[in-house]
Amino acid sequence: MLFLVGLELVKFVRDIKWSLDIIPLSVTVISAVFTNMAVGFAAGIIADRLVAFYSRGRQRA
Amino acid sequence: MVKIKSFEFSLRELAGSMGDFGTLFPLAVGYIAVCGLDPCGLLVMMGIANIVTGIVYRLPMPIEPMKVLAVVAIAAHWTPSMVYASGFAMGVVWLLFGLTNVIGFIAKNTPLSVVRGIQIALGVLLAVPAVTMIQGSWALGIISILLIILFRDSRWAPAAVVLMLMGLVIMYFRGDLAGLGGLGLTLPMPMLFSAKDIFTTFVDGGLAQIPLTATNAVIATAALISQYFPDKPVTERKLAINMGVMNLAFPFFGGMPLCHGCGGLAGQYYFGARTGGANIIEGVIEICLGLLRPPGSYSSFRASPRRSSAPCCFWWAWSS
Repeated sequence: MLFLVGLELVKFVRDIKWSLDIIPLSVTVISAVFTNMAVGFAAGIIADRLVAFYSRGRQRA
Repeated sequence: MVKIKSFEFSLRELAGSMGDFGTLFPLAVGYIAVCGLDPCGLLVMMGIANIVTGIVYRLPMPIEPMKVLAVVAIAAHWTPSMVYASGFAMGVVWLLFGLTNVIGFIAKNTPLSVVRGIQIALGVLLAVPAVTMIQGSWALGIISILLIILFRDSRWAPAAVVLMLMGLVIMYFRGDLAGLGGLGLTLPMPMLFSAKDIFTTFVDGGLAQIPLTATNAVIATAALISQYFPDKPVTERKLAINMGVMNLAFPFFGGMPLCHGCGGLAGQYYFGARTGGANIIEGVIEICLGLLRPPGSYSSFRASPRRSSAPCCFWWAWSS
């Protein structure tokens, strides 16, 4: 049951815009799985802000 | 099937109510066996929490032990009063976060990619140990998965009910049900704890629990509700206040620290829960187990590792 519920949660990856969101999503998943949820959450937020900062810089250029 | 307003009471709702047992049984047994919590208070408070939550939200809404606190408490052999004190401390924190809407601010500023990342990480964290746990009994594991796939949408024999019955049959043939005796009535007793316990447990486990609860029990749960039930959204603030009130009251009657959970909601929904009826069914089962437990059935967990295999058998069924 646990296994199939795990798969059920993973399917929500469908909502993601792959071009922009993949970096914070990956950072969140990897950090959360290998450390804990809190670290994953913080790392994901930081990655999201960095991606936003980088894409704004590119648009200006 | 019985339908009362928006509440449904059917085999599918019963199966759905079992969808989050996997997060409940191992930690509840650990609390009872290692920390010495009173099983009656633990189960009855959990049952009341489920019934009230089901009525308030009119949706399946899992009630689970707070995992960081449970792991710390079990690993450090906390006394019962320390466990209750930690729950009270969490109640204060979540009521404050809810009333001041700090949690709403955090949720509003959390990108969708991070919320999805937390959900996916939870999925991975649930699935990987499941595979590890069925190693060595692959045949039973594969049979369980096939049963779930076959019976998941069945109205007459929903998958979780079939698996739980299978667990009971296995327990019977292993002799784990022998010697339980007749039923005896027990009532939850009032519990007290000191301010020192509240402070100590908050520093030792509560602080680490806050971010996990914020992400898993509040932000990811609210996001999952909006996906499963788009016409019945629940705000992060409401979830936080609900957890605050639960944890402020229940420790005084033997309740463990409780929260909601994204994994539990996915489990309940996957196995058929669609209304608050699932919570009410689960609550009634837990209250009956708490009040009418066979004498000595839980104290035997502490005395005999073989008895502990009984809930583990349920856990095994759930984990595969």
